Amino acid sequence: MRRDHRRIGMGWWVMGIGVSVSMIVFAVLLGPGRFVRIAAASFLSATVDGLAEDRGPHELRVLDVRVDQHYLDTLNTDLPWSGGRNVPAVLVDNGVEHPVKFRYRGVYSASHYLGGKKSFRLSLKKDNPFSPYRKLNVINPKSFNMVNNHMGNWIAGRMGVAVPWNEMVFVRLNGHDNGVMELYEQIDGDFEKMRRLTKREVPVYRGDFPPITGRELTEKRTLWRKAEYWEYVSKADSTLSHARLKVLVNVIYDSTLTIPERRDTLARLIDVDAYARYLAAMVVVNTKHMDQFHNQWLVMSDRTGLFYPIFWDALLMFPPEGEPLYFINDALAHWFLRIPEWRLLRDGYVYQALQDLQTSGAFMTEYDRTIERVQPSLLADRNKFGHVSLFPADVHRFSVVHAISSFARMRVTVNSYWDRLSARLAANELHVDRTTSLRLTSTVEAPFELRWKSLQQEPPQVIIGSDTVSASRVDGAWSVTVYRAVGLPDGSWDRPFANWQHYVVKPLDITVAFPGGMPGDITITNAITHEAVR
Amino acid sequence: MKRSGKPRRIGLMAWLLGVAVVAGGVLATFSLLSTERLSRKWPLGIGYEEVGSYARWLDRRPVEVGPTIPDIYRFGGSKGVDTCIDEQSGPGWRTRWFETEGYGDSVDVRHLLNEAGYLLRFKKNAPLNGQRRMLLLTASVADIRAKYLETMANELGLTAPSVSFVRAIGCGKELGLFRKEEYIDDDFLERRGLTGASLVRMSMDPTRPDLQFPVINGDSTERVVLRGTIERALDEVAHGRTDALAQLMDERAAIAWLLMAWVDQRDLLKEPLWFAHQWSTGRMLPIYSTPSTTRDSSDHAPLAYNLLTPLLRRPTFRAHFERAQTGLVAKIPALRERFVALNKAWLPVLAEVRSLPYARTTATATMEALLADHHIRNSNAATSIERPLLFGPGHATFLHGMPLPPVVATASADTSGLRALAKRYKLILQGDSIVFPRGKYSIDRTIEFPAGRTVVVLQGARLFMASGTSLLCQGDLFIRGTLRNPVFIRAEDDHAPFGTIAVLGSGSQYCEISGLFVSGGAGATLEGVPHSGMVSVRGMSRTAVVNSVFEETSADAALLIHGGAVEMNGVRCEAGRKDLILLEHASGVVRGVQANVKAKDGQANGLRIRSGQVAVIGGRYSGSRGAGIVVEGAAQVLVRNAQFVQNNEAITATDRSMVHVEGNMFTANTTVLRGGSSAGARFMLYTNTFDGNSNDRAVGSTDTVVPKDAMEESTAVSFGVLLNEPEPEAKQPGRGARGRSTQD
Repeated sequence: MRRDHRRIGMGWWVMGIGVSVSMIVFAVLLGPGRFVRIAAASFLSATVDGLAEDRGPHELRVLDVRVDQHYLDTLNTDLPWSGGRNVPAVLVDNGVEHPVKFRYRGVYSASHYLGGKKSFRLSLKKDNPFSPYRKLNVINPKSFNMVNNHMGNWIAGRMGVAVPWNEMVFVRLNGHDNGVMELYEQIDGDFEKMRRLTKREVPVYRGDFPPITGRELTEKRTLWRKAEYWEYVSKADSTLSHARLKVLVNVIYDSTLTIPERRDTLARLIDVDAYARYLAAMVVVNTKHMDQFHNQWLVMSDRTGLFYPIFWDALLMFPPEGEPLYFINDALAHWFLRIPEWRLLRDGYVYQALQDLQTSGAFMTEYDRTIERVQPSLLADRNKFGHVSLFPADVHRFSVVHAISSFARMRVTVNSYWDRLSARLAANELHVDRTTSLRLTSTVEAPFELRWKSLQQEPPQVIIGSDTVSASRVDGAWSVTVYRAVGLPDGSWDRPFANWQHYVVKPLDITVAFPGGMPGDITITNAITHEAVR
Repeated sequence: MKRSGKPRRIGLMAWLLGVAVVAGGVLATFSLLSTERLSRKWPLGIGYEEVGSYARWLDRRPVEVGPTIPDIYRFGGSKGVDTCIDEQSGPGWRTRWFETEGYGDSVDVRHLLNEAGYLLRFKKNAPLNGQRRMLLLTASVADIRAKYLETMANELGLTAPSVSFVRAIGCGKELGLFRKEEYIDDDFLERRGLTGASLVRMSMDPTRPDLQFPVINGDSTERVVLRGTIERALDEVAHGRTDALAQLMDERAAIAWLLMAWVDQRDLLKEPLWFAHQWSTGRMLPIYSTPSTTRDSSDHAPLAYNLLTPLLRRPTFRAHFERAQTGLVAKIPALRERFVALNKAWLPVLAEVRSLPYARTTATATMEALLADHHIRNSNAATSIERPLLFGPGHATFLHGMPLPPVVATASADTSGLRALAKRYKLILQGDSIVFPRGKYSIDRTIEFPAGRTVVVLQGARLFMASGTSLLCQGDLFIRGTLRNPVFIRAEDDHAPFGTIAVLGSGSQYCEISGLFVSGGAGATLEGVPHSGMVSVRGMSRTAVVNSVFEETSADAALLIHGGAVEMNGVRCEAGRKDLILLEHASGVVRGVQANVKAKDGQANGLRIRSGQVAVIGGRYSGSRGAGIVVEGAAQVLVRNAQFVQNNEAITATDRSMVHVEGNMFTANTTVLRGGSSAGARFMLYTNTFDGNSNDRAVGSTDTVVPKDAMEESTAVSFGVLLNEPEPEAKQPGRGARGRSTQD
């Protein structure tokens, strides 16, 4: 039997040629890499996303927002500059209509205002379904997997760092699915009040890009250069907090202070433990997103009067270049990480977190649980918009395929990074020459702890290099720590306001002498992991 | 053989037969299939709603129901706004006119913030049934589960908000049925007799930064102190030590709460935790509230550090928990009976007549799921509840600078003092129990038995109390006398009264008194707590007084019970300066009480009920120059089948109290029903017998007397009694102990 050949009509030919020409034009205009990414995202979104069947009910909370379409249209025509304008809206929850104020937000990242899923902020009345929170950012997730920021936040919170409330939600806007978004508490003076720690507002400062006043992006400023660069966002009396902030800025600015002077002054102004946890979380999350210019918060504790930071906009695995162990995200970190005992405190928190998150599997368990919760909503979301290329303006619809591969990639990235980080912190190769003193040489990055038992009641003096230190009692033994010297890489500008700096650990070659006589049974351990050296 | 090509006609009979067979089959399937099977998951994607709607027409099995009419709540329009309650769209409060039987006033109404329903706020000086706030949640047949759970929680001695069902009408429009639930606030604690306690709310959700620290109702000092105490206990738990937590928590109530959490399958992450912290004992008492969500049993997500689940890490606590599981299994038959009574009372309210068979099916399935023996006694229960724990986000940062009390190393037991006491009075120490065996005891000083110790007084024990001395039990008290062989407690010198026999608990202990003959007490203040009764019971989860006699006292009351569940049967009281028996903030049943006021007791009342909900069944109240029964403080009382003889007033009710009066005999009283308070009271008057009374009623303009024909099942059930009760079993104790009864 012969099969008849069907002729392809002229219309198809014209259409095919048109498509081909436009593809070539776009490929030429955009460049092949950019073109392929955009085209692939559109193609996959159009062909694959509709195939999802039986996705089940949402496990995420559904946020049903209604805004007069006229208002929305007006705001949409002038984005991102219309972002500061609030319009009345309604949040419907359990059939109850909660009056809210709605405004678009986000001007620096195009994913906030380009595309079909725009970030916005709701201001609610006191009695609302999210009480005690009254200002909520509803953010278009920055990553394809959508939970990247959420998980970064979760890690920091678990490490004891103050974080905003963050929850994944499914948004419906004017009766249409707007898709999976991220609910983010907007921080203000009520931060501690909402956590039931106090009945009143506390001083809170925001360290971010300057507020937009005209129709231009404002020039960014180095936050720690001036106290005025920190925007006060509380109604609490600011007299004391502002005075302390000025002192803190001065301490950071002043490069003449010795390390002990700086340490003692800083310890009276900042919550050292909270900062150590904060910097540790930054290492574990592997982010550089809180920098000299933005994503910073300072809260003055109602209990201690000390400033502590809030982990904000944590992008999981948004790493600084070269994977440094001591990344300097801002001027405060520049000094903080110079203080050896604070560095060790931070490293201890990093290692503790890795034990909890990676070794005991807590992160992957939570990651799987989060994916499971997000999955039905992600499949229902036909409005996924994000940066499909490295060009800021390329905010386009992406596919569930992107999300799935991003989930898998994140799993691999996190595990491999944490493996490397654990190995660096736990490395304990040390060469010991024992004569009348100890000569310690090592190329690993960890500090070392020396312990010995003695009936001596007075703390023995130990000479480490050129410093004489007193041993301290730990678990019935005497202990000293041999800290590591750190410095900036050759050619770097050693100033607190320099960007994207990091410290490197110098190789160890030091003599430890015991004027009271060399103890017989010295145990040397990695001071971070407390494991015996090799 | 060739088959005929001619089409065969199907006759009318065949059609009818075909339809009848199919219809009959389906009808039989729905009407005869076991209720458990019908409500189980069906194959082929057949949904629960589909089965329900078919069953509405096809399930025709007979259902026995009681004549129940729910309370009707009528809402009017809102001040200045035209909309009715069902059109109220915003989250704010609206003031509306509200009416129900015996009540009419404007109330504030708002939507609940986290679930569908309303919160009602009554005026401070005009609470409804003693409640200032009340929840109304949309109800369906499935809500019978809340009533079951409330019953179970009460059975386990837990403090729990009461649940009921009402019909709501908004501006004349039927709004359907609502589950009425008590709101947990300071007033709730007061109604439960937990005065001087602070209400604490916590959560087990470790993802919410705002829920990681307790919300404490109290002044700033109380908040700081209690938060520090709680954080210290949790910090200790994080370091693997649970002693501080065990000292903070009321163990029995914690076990009961966890057992209920296992039974009700709540989503531990989502449900709030309520506690009453009693400053007098330093202990936290968990409050049970019915869950709004159930959990996926496979979800083992970590919980926030909390005051309950870590206790399961203690071997003794876990053993007691497992024992409680077994104890609850033993109560299944009794609970099933009570659930069936609840079905009879409430299903006709929750379902239309046509849907009743299937409603019963649903209810039965719910009941069986809750009472499933294998589930309750499941050996994995403790393991399933005791999940990994996490602190809330940023907890370590917030804890810095928070004043935490030091860890107090307490002696594990006060054995030396007790051993000396036991030696002196020849008592027996058995584990945690102190036993008074048969014999004579001369108590010459006030004795205090600490919390955690159970005092058991066995039959034949005779305690002679020196002048002014008292006994104070801070743990359980069991007096186990019999009518033939009672326990005597008397003053050593007839002219020198002793103080009091006081029981002071933290809300979870039991006090059971049977066969007690007590006389000669005057009341006392012990450790700053006034005990104005000769026998004074405060802060017990449950108090049972059976076959006992209270005589010759100069105390304000012969028997005072404050708070908790009460059960009295066959009690005779013959003395009291102000009241013979005083029940405050208590709920329960008082049966067969004989309150005979003597002339020397002046104006004393027979039984005073202040707040709470009590059924008075049978008994005789006579000779009072005050009142046979006084009801006040917005109490709700059912008085049935009792005799009132020669009282100045038979029943007095004030302060928005409500009294159901049915089947009683009023003989030769000066006034039968007395009201007259400014807030008014309400009498629901059913059929009673009046004989030779001077005045049937003396009520004021604010009081209401509502004549009623027959009592509804739901009214009786709401008081914890059946509409048609069997004859009471307890024998009435006679005057003295000897030779009056054959009952042991």
